[in-house]
Amino acid sequence: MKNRSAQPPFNPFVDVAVGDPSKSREPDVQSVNKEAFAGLVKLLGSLDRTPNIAALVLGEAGSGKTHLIKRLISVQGDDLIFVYVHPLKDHRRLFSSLLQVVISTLEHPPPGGPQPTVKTRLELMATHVMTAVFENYLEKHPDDGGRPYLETVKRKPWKILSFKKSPKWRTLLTHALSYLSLHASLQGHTAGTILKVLLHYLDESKHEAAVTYLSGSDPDDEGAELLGVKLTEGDFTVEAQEERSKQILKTIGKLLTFYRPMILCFDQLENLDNEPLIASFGRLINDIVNEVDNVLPVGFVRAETWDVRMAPHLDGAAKGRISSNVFHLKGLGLDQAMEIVRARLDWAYSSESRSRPDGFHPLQLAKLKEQLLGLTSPRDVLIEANRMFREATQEDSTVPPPDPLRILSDSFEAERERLLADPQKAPARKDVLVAALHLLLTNRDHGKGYQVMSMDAEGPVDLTIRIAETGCPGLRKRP
Amino acid sequence: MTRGKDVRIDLEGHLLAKLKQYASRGGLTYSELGKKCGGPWKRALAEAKKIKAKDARARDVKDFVYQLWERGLVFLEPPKGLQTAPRIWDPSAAGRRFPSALGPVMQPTTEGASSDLEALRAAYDRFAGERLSGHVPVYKVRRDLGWERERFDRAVRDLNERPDPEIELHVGDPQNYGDDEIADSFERRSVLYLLMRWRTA
Repeated sequence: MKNRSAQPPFNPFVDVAVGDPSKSREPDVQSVNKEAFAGLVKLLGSLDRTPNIAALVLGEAGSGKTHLIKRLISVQGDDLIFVYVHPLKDHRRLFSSLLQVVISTLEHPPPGGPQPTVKTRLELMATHVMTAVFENYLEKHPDDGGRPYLETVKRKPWKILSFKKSPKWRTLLTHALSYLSLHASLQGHTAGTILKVLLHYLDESKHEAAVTYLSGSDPDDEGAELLGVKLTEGDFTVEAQEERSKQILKTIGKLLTFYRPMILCFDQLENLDNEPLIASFGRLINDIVNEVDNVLPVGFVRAETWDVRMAPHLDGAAKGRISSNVFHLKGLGLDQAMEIVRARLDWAYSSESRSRPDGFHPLQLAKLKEQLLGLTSPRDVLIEANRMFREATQEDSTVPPPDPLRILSDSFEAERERLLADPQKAPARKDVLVAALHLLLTNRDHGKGYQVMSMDAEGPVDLTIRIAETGCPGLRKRP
Repeated sequence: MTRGKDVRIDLEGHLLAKLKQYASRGGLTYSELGKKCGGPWKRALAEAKKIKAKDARARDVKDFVYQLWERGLVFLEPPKGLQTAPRIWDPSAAGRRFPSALGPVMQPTTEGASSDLEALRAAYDRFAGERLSGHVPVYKVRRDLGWERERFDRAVRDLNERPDPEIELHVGDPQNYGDDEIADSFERRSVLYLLMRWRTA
């Protein structure tokens, strides 16, 4: 008879994948992949001295790539801006898609939550910029009455927003454009406009228009008037939009000098599933490394996918850039495997006041060691621990295992509900929507009276679908 | 990793480091090993063992070494001549002097000077150079060596199933492999491993 009273309240080995690294709750075992972690931290520390770098993390499925991102996020906290990029889908719009993700991240509150006067990172970034402007203004105008506030504002940059109601604010905005054009090499009409829009973002009534513009799209007429920008006058070609997005990202990169560096985590690159997408991704990284300051792109990819499917389709320059700093995820030793199991069990028991017989309860220590010997991937260890846990707790021994399709469907519904309820949800990315639509239309039942003949991206249009009637009256035959 | 409650010493790591440090002198007796590890280590061991004495006793050191021996982390040389106690060695240092300190895969083969370990490593290296990641398909190494199936599997298992594995095995993606390549890969407990990587690469 098993002692059920000492069993943990839940099975801590069920989740063998991290999911969203900023939200996953599973414990982290610091000794796992510590070399790769230390290497990445060192690289991040050198970003201000060697700004044009990239990194690549190689490891097979379940070796801890996404977990490494989670550790970077939790350890670096507010010292860096983390942008987690799910695989990009449209090879023609990589900069536009990336910019959407970057702005969406900057629209979130900083770690520690929103503060009374500053709600988003974009605001914080703009206040840091304005603080530098203020300091420079005081150097040029030493007798200005604002000097006593400088130290306070340097400590707490968001305090500069208290000037917004004073006439000095307008003076500072004017000074900002001339100072930044020299200091941060933000020269040219485009950079000036982007900077102006960022500063408009500090006015709450212009938030929406500013975010639309900074995401690479045109605001409506009213928004354009609020921001004082001209619309792109019909230049909607994909190339023009990509170039605009690149310019915005470059300007943001330069302004990060006043705030903090940004790390772009391109996770699950194995999902770049066609040659044009892989080649475009290479060019994207090359351009970021060469032209965007203060941003470190880091790719996370399965080892074999990199060797067999990605590297051969990248041009030499891109391949060289991406693989200039490679971090290999090292397989586990037995001690580390045991540490992972122990940490998960500690986590499961953390809310339990009753004591347990030993640190590995309900698993048998000797058998556990035997079973884990030779398992070098964290996921393999968790799968084996899950199997042993279920056996030890007689979980599901009397009921048949659940239907995998049902699990998939339930998980999908739960995730969908969670996403819809998330108050900080990011807007849907256009390239992902197009890919999803593509998938839906090519796989749906065609007994609806029409058939999809072709789906392409044409010119500025994201998706052109040609359909033909298949006998259902009421549908016109023309595309 | 075992730690004392108050004194934060990695008991296992510290002892193994001492064995490596004094490897050129030959093995150490329990008493010599205890002295080399030092007072703070013995206190930490006493803490970990939850014994009342301030320092760990000789039998606690023996128990601790026995656990390491069980896991293959140390080698014990039996007493010879008038000696009464075994000598404790770092396994790789012992391997240079005593062939029995090495597993079968590391022993010289009957066919030539090199061991199965060396032959396997050489075959792996021939393909690892082609891949930045160092993840090599198992079937390529198996075919390159041309050994009997059981000999290859035993060598891979021996190098993988140890506390500090030499070889990592990864499942990989079966879609990238043909049926015959899958058949020449490696299987254990119904799990198919398509890729191998030298862990110290």
